[in-house]
Amino acid sequence: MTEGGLLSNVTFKTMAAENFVCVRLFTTALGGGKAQIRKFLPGISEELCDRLMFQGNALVVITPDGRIVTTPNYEAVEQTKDLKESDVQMNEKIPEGILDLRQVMKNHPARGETLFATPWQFSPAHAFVVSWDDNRRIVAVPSKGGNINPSLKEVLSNEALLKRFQSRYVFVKIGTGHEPPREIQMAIEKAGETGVVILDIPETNKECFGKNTEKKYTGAWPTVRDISPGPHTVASLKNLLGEHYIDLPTYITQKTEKRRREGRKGRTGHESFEELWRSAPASVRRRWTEEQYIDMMSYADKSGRSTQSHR
Amino acid sequence: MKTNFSAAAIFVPIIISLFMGYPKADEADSGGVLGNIPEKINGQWPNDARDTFWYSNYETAARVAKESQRPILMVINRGAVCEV
Repeated sequence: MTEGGLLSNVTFKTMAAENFVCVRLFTTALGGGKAQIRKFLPGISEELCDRLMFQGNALVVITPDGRIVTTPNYEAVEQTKDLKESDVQMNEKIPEGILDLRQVMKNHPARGETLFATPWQFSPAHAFVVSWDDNRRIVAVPSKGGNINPSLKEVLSNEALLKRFQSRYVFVKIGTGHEPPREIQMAIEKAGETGVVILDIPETNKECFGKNTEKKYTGAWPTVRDISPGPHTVASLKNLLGEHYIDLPTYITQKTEKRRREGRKGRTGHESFEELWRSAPASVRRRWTEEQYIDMMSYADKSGRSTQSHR
Repeated sequence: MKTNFSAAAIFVPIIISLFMGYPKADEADSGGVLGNIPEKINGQWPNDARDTFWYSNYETAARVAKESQRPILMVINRGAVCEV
């Protein structure tokens, strides 16, 4: 996964959150892929679009008015079919990727106030991948063709609510034409048009999420954790989300303990993340908190990369 | 002994800066460690600043970019497949 490299770096995450509107597309998640790339990059050639779809990981910077920032010289240019692959992508490397983005930030600084908007995923399939990838549970809400109940929409776009929970959950509308399994649909129906359903992180295995991306997901779907009929207020939704959000260090510790009981070691070769933290060099302890370090190492553990990949 | 100390003086800062994910030298020209990133509080990043969250649909991301006048950083990842 991309997150095993540049994107899991604490420096990058902090920088990106403050200076960019961050977008992540899994090209092979159904209900999106090429269609979403086409929306973001309407002018590029079919060939370049295909390359972005299938070449692996790519980073593209787009100005607020929809122009592409070409990476060789960091200038914003109109999208045209003449754009080359080298114009629109950066390699995901540390520290080079960070330095490149810092240069982009200098040339195209954020000029407005931070805006909070409900970060809807474009499909349940995409939401499930992000949920697994980020260790976040899912807030699923009913919709009719993508339109949700106006009062629920207002509550879910509340700034205070989003400040607290937008990065702790994955938000997805059900009823957009890319439907999840029957069990989840039934839960949505039970919640009603002003209700929400909390889904757990999908259980998975390497067959589903490993390097072989040609394989389709046939593993267990996220289970329904809670069905909360509406109508909701900001306070009631805060309570609900506060009850179910995942405390990452605790979650990782529990998973590690489970793995230890089953006689399996982490891919990074340590017994637990706490043990790894205790043995971390002083430079690491000065720079990061335990939570940040565990956060990064959990990505490393998933992606099968060693701690070396973060240096 | 002197030689060992000199070698350490050269390599230790390099190793530390590599582990931090970026070279220390670059901090100087940007006016700080991370430019206009919020300061750490009690040695920790504020949660809101530390966590990157990701949009995945064009409608929301384009609106937020326009209204907040921020560039979009789009990661295109050939990730897993979910058959829904």
